[in-house]
Amino acid sequence: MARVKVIYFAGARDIVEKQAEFIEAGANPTATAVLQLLVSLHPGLKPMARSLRLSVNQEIAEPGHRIKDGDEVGVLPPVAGG
Amino acid sequence: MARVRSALTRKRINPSNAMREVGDPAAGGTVVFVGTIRNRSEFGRVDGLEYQAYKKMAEKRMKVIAAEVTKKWPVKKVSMYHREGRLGIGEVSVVVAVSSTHRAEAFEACRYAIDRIKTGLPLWKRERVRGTGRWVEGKPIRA
Repeated sequence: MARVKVIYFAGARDIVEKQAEFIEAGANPTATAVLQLLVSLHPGLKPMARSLRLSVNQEIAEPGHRIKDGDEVGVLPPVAGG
Repeated sequence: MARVRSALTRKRINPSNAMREVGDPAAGGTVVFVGTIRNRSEFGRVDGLEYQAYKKMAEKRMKVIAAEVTKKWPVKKVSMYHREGRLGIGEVSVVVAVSSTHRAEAFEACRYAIDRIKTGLPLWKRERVRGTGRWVEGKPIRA
């Protein structure tokens, strides 16, 4: 079982109505699987799901990236710095 | 080896400080880009905005971007600062200062850094237009 901390940002945080939570994500899940799990936990994320990117331990994660127990996952809507 | 400084900050940014930081006796040119908060967006008059950041990741990525700059151009020094939190119209949101032997690489490196900052940092901005806040539509973060 991978127990991971998930941190939400911007529009995703508004929908989920919390900054962060811990979730149980099965064994050795991919980033894509974790995103799907988050959408099923928070159906409000569905309309924006395709635009979301995940980070793992503050690095941008490819869809197939394997997430481990204790990782920190960021839910990142499209960014707008500058 | 070029010296690099970067940070996300809640304090006001003074571009002169960044310019001073990149001062170098071997530099013949310094380029400073200063980004400020505009009073209009496509939705009307903007009263102010708020940057939300994934601070730990943003600071890591700023270091990565600065390292890319020093690898691509023979620059002397690089300083990059970005604000988080609430900002008013006209306030400085970002500054990038680059010094190098000649101006051409300073211009190119500075342009590269600010373009990467726009699309490569986990930052989001919420505009206040006529009392209503809305997240500015951005682009997927780029590695």
